[in-house]
Amino acid sequence: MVDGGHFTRRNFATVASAPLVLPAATLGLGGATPPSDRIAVAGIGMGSRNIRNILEFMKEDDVQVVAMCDLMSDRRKKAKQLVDGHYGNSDCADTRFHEEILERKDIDAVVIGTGDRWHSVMSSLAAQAGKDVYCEKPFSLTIAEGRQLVDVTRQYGTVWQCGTQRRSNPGYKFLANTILGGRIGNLHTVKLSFGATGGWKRNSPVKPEVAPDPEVFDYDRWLGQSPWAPYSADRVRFWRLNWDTGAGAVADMGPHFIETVQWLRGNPLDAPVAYEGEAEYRHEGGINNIPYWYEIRARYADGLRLNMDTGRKGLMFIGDEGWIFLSDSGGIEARPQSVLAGLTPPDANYIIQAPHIRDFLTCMRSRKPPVSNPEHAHRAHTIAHCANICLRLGRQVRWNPAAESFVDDAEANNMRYRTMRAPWRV
Amino acid sequence: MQRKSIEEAVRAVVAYDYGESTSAWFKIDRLINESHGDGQARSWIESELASRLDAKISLAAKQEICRRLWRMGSDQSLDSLRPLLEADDPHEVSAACYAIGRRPSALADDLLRAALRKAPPECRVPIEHLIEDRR
Repeated sequence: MVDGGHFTRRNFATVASAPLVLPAATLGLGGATPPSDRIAVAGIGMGSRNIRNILEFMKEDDVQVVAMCDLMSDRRKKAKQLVDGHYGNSDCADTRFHEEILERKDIDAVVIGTGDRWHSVMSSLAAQAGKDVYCEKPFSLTIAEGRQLVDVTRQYGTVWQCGTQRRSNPGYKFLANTILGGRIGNLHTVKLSFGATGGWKRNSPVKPEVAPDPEVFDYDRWLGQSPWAPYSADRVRFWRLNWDTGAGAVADMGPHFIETVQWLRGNPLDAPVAYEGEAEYRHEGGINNIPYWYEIRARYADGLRLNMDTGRKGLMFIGDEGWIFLSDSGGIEARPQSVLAGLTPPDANYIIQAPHIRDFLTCMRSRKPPVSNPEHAHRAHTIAHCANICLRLGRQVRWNPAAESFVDDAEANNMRYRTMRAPWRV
Repeated sequence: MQRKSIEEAVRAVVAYDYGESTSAWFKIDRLINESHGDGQARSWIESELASRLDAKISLAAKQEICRRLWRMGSDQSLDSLRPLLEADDPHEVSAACYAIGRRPSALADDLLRAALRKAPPECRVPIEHLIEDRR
């Protein structure tokens, strides 16, 4: 929507729904959304994951991707080529400075696919600049960081959707309906498995190297909020394997699956009240300081058990009359087989993103909260962070969901927050 | 837990620098975990780690110590953190801020305000941010 060439939050919902908006067909566009009604989108952090996001956004008729931002020159050039190739022009801007994206008044939304350490910080900067945000998960490294972002998006009234696309996947809706329909009886245990340990078991010494020219790769910006450390190609390559730059395996996959559990329980603000578990680490020393193997056993106040482990990637819901398992590749299994009798499961592959992106775009126009809104996403992330804190402490912790604090546990409470390297902050 | 084993473990990490094996730090983490509920052992670990901040150790070692103080530090280590907080190197200031975090402490609040008054311009921002976050 354009207001003197500028998409404005204030009038967007009103004008978009007003009867004076002419159907595109009457403008001779063959049903296409006129340029003046398109949502202008920029991508920030253009690795493989966000390229996939941007490809999905470009499939949406009412979206125009207009700019690419990345700290690596080869990535931003490739991303620009991809977008230009799609539109058949050379209009897509590219920059390494997110400030240039956020100060552009013609950009309505940003799709953030940076490393984890940047998600909440960039989301906050975007909100302050009046941009709506679709942000990859995990969007926070700590519980406090997540809460701060919830507050910022409320303060600025922006729409923010976490990239937990499984939340809008028809297979997950099928799963929820099947369970809520009572087909496995009373649900007593949920087992979330985040997959084989291979990728999370990698390790490497981190030998300091000469940092590249910032125009080629801006390493200091790449570090963002993380504590300063000298450049090393392996620090960059294996950023997910270190607490400084990533959030660990549980927080990487957890938010996807946990959001489903919360949704199914009908209370996205709830959380388990107790956690215990075990973990294995790469003790030989290197970049990897996160658990590569873990078993977490959490319990909600009503007794529902929530277990998390490194088993076959997927969600298993166990009731007193049977169980149902949704694998991340989309297959659905159940025992007894009567659980699925008469039902036709839809395609549930994790890769399905269009409904989640459409939900975000619809909410941009309606100004309503999307399904994976900041508060709900934060609560799901909090469960993953609590699990991580339990593993790091090597002991049981108790959690008060209402107070968002650990019970009688100063050490665990200290770990809810981490000082960010200035000047970055939420 | 014996104080001697704590001293040995800390001695093994203070020479640490970037690029070297971090395996000895896992032993510190194990000691911290195992000392949960043992106030005496916790106090020994904290004082052993914090006292090394005064020595000529690398920034990398200081950062690692501050990571441990972040989770289990108390007012006991604030005096040792003061030189870092008042340093003219923003990385050292950031490490001290990391260690203090949002742990409730009136003494830490005082320390941060005092450091802010003395801080050179390039070191002010991390302290300002932490003071705001602690409110």
